[in-house]
Amino acid sequence: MENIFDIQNLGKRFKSFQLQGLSFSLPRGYIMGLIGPNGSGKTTTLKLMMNLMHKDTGEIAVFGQDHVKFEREIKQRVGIVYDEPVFYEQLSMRRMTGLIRPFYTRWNQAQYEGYLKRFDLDETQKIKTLSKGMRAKYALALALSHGAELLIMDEPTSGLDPVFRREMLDLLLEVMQREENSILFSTHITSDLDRVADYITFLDRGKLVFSQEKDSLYEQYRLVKGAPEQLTESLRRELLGVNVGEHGFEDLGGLDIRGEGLLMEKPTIEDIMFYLTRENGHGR
Amino acid sequence: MAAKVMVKELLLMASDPKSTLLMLLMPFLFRFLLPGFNGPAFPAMLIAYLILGVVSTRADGMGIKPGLSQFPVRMRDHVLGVFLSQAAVVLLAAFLGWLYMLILGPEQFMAGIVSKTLGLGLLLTGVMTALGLWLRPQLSRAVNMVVVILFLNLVIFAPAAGSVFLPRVSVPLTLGGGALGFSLLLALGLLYPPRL
Repeated sequence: MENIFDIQNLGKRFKSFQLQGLSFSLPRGYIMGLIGPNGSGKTTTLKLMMNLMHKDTGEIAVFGQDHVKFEREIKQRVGIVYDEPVFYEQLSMRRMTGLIRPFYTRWNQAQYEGYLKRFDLDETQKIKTLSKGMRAKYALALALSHGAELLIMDEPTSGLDPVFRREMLDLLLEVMQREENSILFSTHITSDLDRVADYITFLDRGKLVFSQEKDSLYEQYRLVKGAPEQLTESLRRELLGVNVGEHGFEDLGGLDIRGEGLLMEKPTIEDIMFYLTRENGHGR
Repeated sequence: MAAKVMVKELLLMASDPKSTLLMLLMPFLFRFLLPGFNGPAFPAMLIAYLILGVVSTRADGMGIKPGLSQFPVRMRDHVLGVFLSQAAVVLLAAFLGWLYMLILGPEQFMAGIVSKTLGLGLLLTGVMTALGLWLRPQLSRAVNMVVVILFLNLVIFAPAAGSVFLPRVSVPLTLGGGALGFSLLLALGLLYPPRL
């Protein structure tokens, strides 16, 4: 299967943080959720992919092409939605789009106007007056109107109301169904990923914890719950970072865990992220 | 692609027609209202004022982040496009100064005023554009204001030195020096591009 991007041994060193030897890839036509606690390196990874920062080590290929040598060509085929404001704030949406449009060879004006209508955006409104949700809608309309084959979204749903978050996720699924697109979606709202992601890549303090299919992840772990007296030493050794309360314990374990009266549930991505992060000594 | 960035930057500078028109008309208004402007160095003041206007416009929100995040360009395209757009503004300002001088009669103004200001303007614009790429916006804005105020002072007090603008330096030296300085700063910008 053709990969939409391939990252090999990616490294970047800062004064107080280091991204170390990341390697992961995404097959064409799938959605990948990039998760991890704040400061785990998600945004840095996305910036490195877009060559907005120099990497210290490693290789990044997008559409099979080196991301530095073919930067312009790659950017023509990538749509990016950032969490922070990255527009000329003093302009209206119409003027901003007027500046952006000539740069894209595959700009589809009809599609753009369709998204504006669908998102109920008034193009004459100045960007500085837009709410966070409206900015996200506008950014998404721009990203989807130039024939992007890869959508990179950095925390696109943080700070959005639940109705628009749902609407946005539905739209992403619709885009995925319509075309052979791929999405790399960085977020810490992991419930979004439970709904839409095919692959999950988990970073913690600059290191890759795992990158794998979401379904295989669900098959790999179980959320184990039980009464305090059921938490034997041997069981404790098999679990990842036991969360014991007055009325019982809860933890993440493998499928092979057995115990009479233990409650085994399918974990959410948030459960997996929480317990694996605890296991790595983060946030204790 | 750098040409596209240059056009985009120029359109961005002129994105508010009222402010642009006001910026162009202000020096002429000052010529009638402020005694310092009503002298034989006016074309130089016009050029310096327009550079100041453009510098303020850039500092008011034309950051590097949108330029790189929303447009499918390389950092070098962005740097080259920004430098070229700034040079275009200086050339346009010099053209306006020259036109005004031609209409009123060159004998009313100091000798070499437009060409020497053009050289100086290119050099200073290069400095300000480069600083805009490397420094934080607030710091860059402060440095730019100081540079342009010094430039305006030089121009305002020039007539006191005689009928020739900057008599100790020749026109080719000022023009050549300005162009060379601008090119060197552009080369530095391309060699050491900023990162987000």
